[in-house]
Amino acid sequence: MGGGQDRHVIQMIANASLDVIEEVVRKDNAMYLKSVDKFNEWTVSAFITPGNMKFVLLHEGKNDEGIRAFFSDVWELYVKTTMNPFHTAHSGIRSTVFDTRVRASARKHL
Amino acid sequence: MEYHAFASLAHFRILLVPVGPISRATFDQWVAEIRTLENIRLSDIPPGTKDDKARFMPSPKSKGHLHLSFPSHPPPISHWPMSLFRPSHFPLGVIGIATCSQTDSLSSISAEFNAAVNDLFPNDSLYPLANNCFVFEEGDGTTNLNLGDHLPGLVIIPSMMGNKKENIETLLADLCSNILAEFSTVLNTLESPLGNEYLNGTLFPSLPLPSDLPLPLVDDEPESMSAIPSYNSQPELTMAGGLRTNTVPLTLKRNSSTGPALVSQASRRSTLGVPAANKKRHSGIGASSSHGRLFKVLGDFFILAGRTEDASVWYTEAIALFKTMPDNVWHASALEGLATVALLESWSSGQGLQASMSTSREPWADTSDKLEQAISLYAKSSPKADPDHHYDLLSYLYTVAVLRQSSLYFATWSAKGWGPLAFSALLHPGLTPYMPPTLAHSESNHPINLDRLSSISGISRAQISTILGQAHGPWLLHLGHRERIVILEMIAAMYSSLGYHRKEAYILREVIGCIMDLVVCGREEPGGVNNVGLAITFPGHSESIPLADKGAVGVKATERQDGNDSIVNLVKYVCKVHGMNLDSVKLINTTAKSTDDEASILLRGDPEDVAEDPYGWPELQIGIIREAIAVAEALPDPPTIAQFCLSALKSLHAVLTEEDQYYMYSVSSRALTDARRRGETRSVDYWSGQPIVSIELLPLSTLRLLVENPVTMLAAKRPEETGALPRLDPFLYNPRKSLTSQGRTLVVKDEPLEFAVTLRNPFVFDLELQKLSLSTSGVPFDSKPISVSIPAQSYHAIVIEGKPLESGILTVRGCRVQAPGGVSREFLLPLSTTEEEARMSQRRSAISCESGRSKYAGLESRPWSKAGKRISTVAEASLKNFIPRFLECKVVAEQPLLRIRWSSLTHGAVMLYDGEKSSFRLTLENVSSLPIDFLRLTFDDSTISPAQQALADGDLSVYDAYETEYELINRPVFSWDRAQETFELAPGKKIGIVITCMGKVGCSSGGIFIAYSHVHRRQTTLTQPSDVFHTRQISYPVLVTVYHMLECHGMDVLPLHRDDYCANDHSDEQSWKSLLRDVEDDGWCLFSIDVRNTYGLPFEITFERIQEGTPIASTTSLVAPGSTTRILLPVKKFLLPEEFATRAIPTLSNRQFVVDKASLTSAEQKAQRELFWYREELFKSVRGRWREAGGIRSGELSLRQQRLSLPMLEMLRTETAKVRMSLHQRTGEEGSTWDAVFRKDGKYRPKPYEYLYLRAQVTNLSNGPLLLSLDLTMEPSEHVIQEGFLSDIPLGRLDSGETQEIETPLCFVSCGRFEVGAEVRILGVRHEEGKVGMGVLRADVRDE
Repeated sequence: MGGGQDRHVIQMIANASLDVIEEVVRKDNAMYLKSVDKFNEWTVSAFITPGNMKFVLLHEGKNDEGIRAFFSDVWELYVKTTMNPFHTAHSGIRSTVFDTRVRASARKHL
Repeated sequence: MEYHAFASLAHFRILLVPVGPISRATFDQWVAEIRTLENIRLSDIPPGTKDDKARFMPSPKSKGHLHLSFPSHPPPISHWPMSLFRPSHFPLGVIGIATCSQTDSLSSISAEFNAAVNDLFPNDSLYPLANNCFVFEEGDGTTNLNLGDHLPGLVIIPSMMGNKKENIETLLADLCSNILAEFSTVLNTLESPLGNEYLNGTLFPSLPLPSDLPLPLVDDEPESMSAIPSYNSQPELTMAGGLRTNTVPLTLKRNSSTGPALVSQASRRSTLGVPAANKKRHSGIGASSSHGRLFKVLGDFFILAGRTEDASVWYTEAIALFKTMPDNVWHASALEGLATVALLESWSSGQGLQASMSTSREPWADTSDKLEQAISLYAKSSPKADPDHHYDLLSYLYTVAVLRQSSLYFATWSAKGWGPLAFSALLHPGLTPYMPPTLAHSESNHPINLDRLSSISGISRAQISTILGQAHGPWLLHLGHRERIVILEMIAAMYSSLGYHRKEAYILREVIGCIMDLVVCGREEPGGVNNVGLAITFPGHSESIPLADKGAVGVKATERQDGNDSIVNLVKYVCKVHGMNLDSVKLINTTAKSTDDEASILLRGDPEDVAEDPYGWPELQIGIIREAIAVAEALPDPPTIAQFCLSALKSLHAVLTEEDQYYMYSVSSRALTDARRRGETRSVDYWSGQPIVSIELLPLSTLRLLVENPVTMLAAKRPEETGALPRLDPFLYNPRKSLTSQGRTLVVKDEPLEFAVTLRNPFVFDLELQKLSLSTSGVPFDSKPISVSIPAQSYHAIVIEGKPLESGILTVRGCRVQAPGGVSREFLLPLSTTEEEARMSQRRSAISCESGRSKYAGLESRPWSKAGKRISTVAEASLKNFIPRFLECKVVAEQPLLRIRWSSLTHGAVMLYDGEKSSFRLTLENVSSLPIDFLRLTFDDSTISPAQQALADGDLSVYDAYETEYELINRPVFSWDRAQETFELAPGKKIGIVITCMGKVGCSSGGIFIAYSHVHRRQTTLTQPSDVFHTRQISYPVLVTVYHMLECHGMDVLPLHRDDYCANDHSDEQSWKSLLRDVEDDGWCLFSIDVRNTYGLPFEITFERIQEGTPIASTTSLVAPGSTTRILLPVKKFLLPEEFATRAIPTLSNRQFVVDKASLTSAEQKAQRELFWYREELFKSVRGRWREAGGIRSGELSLRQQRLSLPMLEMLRTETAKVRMSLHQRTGEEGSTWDAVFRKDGKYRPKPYEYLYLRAQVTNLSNGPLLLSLDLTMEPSEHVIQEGFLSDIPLGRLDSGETQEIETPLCFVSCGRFEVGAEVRILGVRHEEGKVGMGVLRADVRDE
């Protein structure tokens, strides 16, 4: 309810939307879940990789195709990251290359 | 808790208030009793008395119900503008509950009740419409309370009345009847044109005060309506007329909806102005207005009165009007009303709705549509520019509508479909609205169960969540704190029941924010910051709510902790959902101290040291934790602040940045200081994981080192047993040995001990430990706790000193650690035994096997929810059986202390020649207060261990092994006089001991170990003295230098014939002659050895013969540097008894018998043994000594390097049979005696051509009888004539010592040298072996 300027509040919304995503995933086989949740005037879209890794995007406007493209870009980047034998599902991604590429993709599609 | 039921629009609210002195329990009891009456049948309500008020009265035959609801609090003042808009929101009646036992107090109760009602409701309020006060009679019922008539509104319920519930029901029905009658009054007012104007005046109109109304209205005369006809358009007039007659519409309404239909037709011809104009002229009275609002109010009243058909009709009318003339809010409310009507109808028509399931649309779809419409209308209405704003009410109405719709879905979902269960949940949710029976059982939150509900009801959780999500938005900020909290709580509860815990956590976080606002505002001065819209600001982030007033002393009016605790619990819950356990550091109440259940951690059993998979979003977690800390700071609750900080440090320190760690640590230490200042009874548990890495007992100084000995050691030992030989076990492998050697260190009572404790600090700040002490069990241990500061991210070793106060077993279990301001905590540290290691590795592998595997996702993979599912139970079971072993010390009674006062050695060094013996002296002083009565010296030198190693390897031959052992046992480097072993050395006294030191080649250093003890103690108890005693030991190292100067080699044993040597001319030396003086003709041999001097000084060597039956003889020679001297010494032959010479070669140590590797035949073995024993015997007889030429130093010359060979043995050993031969001749006549032939230089001198007798005397020298034969040989045989045989002359059986003579006549037929040999052989044995003796006779035949 309080605008959500704080970074961690937005993170919290993203985190909270996992509740819905998890339920939807149980029934829906689609990888791209568009506008799966709306909360506090944010729209949440999600992308589920086959390895049950979830990408969550909070956005305001509608931009289905852009988001879908963005998600598939991120997926590709993520898959490349996981090819690193030292990367586990539990370790965070600290690669700057990953970061810049995701940003570039966001600029392009979002 | 106030709860917005779906059907709240149909709830007939009656406020319950306590009156007078009534205990809470009693009040609650009666409230509970009353609350069971949820519905009252319309037919039970007594019809009103006055006709004009009977408009809402039910007919006796009507079938509906009144749905009662009994709040305990009136709505807030801010909601009063809604009094006409939503009558169901307000208590229509008030019931006071009082108890009374005395008649005279009734009047005061009545007065109090009236005062309370006046107090609760504003003066100009419409409600309550009726009051009543129930006075429950107390006591035994003897006093008969008589009310009389003078106190209206007071009802006495006698205590002796049987069925109170029925009575209450009747009373309630009466009250309802009154209220329904009042509805008519209200409506009458509104129906007047002026009233209608008021109604349309503002968005949330209120009923005009009677004083504001024109007189005729106050008179409540039907004629008054006609007095203001100009205000109303035609339809209203007809309407008003209808109302005026009053009975006509009533009857119409009761029967059917025809009446309103007529009116509505009329009203559609609306001539009203635009609503906007209305809004502007809100104060203007008399403007013509639509009747939409009026119809809606009618609908509201009818729905409250339980007459759903009427309500439905009026709502429909109202909506129709609103459609033409938009009035969003009222329109929406009417839609809500319609939705409620639908539910009520479903409920009352009961339970047979299954039929409607067959239709394509869901049965609730219609209701839902209406609500959706209502919601969107509310949403549209919000930005309306109303001068009165009423944003709060609009937001409230909007959110309530959203909640209404979501509760419709939720109830349907949780009740497994649109059925009776759902209806009753919607209508009368009860006390736990969001815990329907389908979700109440323990497994309910499992996703499968929730999914099942979805598939049964056809509503997915996401759907409910989407609807519910609409309720949450920035508009909530318009609400007052109280409403906001209530609404957020409801949202949270619904999310929780849906299993959406993360969303629930989000909402709860806002609830906390709201509460904290109230808490902080309440604390500030009145008129302070009006913090509307600042719900989520936390002092931790912005300093907006300052901790600033540090100077000000906050005084808490009430010391109730429940509130704070609940907030803290909420915070913890939120954090838990995000994967942080804020309870990982516990708060412990220090007042209720229980040492028994003190938590203790096994060092490496601790799961912390094994890396677990991280859970959660670190960045988010840190943000949340900061908020949590801010909440705790705002409360303020110092122990909780500390708990939060420290828990975060403990569980998140891997992801916390350095700054954060510093921040948390400083906040926590500040909070703990505060807590102490405030006298908090709670304190944080020790938090920082296992700080102890290891505990070791520092070895005592060698002076104080203790050794445990069996008492049997005190018994006298055989003298040859010394410490030089390894104290070998009879077994090669002794499993018990390793057990005893482990663990127990011996320490002494009352003497300081030092433990080295290694600590670890994984954090970036210096970790302070206020107290660190050893946790011991067993004998009391006196040790002072120390405070330590462990440097950041490092290992730190400290030493803890202490003293055991009694003798016994001291077990060091671990450490007791206390952080500043915390509670001390014990950490156990088991010994790393094999089992412990096995257990640890098992555990590690179990965890590493599971780490990195993600079987569960989402909330199920939180560490604590995972723990129950995954760690295999087998490992746990083995854990239980495991008994850890700890570091143990055996504390023994006080021990004396001795020290070396003086030594005669300079620099502790000895220089010796090989074989030299010297002695030195040590002076010992008893520096303790105990006497010393036991002293034993053991020695070590550098030759011992290689020898022992060689022995242990077992590769030596039997012979070499014996030699090595002999060296070890009989020729130790150091020795001392054992006579000094038992003595008594009083405290403070000195004693000197003499140690003999012998030079042994290869020895470079040695050690003297002086073990001493106070053994014969006075027994203080009658207990059996233990079978061990303890000694302390002083060691004194000695440097030894041994010069190797004389080498013996080439030992030989040669035959010796006295005659031969005497005949030699060169052997005329005196010494040699004297040596030979004792030598008899035979039975002697010559011992010879070469001695070489490899040193730079001349030495004089002496060999001595000490042989039984011979005088002592010796030979001395000077060996110049670099030269070799041969020593000759006659030695008498000897014979060892057979059984003696064939004994096995002994082992001097009690080594385990090892099967001989060399497989010798029995003959070879016999020969070897004989060699051994004869050599031993020889070395007993011949001793060598040396002396420094021109000096005083002397020593032994060892012969043990020399080997005895078989020919030497033959020489040394006496023959078995001795043969003596002699020649005899007759010098005179026939018959004269036979005389021995003349002999010179050992040779006979017979004459040729004379008849001689050769007499051979054979003596059996062996110890048994022998069968012997004799062979004679004569050389040159061609010049000798003899009679009879020369070979195999039988001698017969000779007993031991018996002599047999054989005579053989012979004649030398030439001059010259002859040699007659004789061989004695045993009969029946092979030729070579049978030879047991021989003799030689030399004759020099000359014709003179």
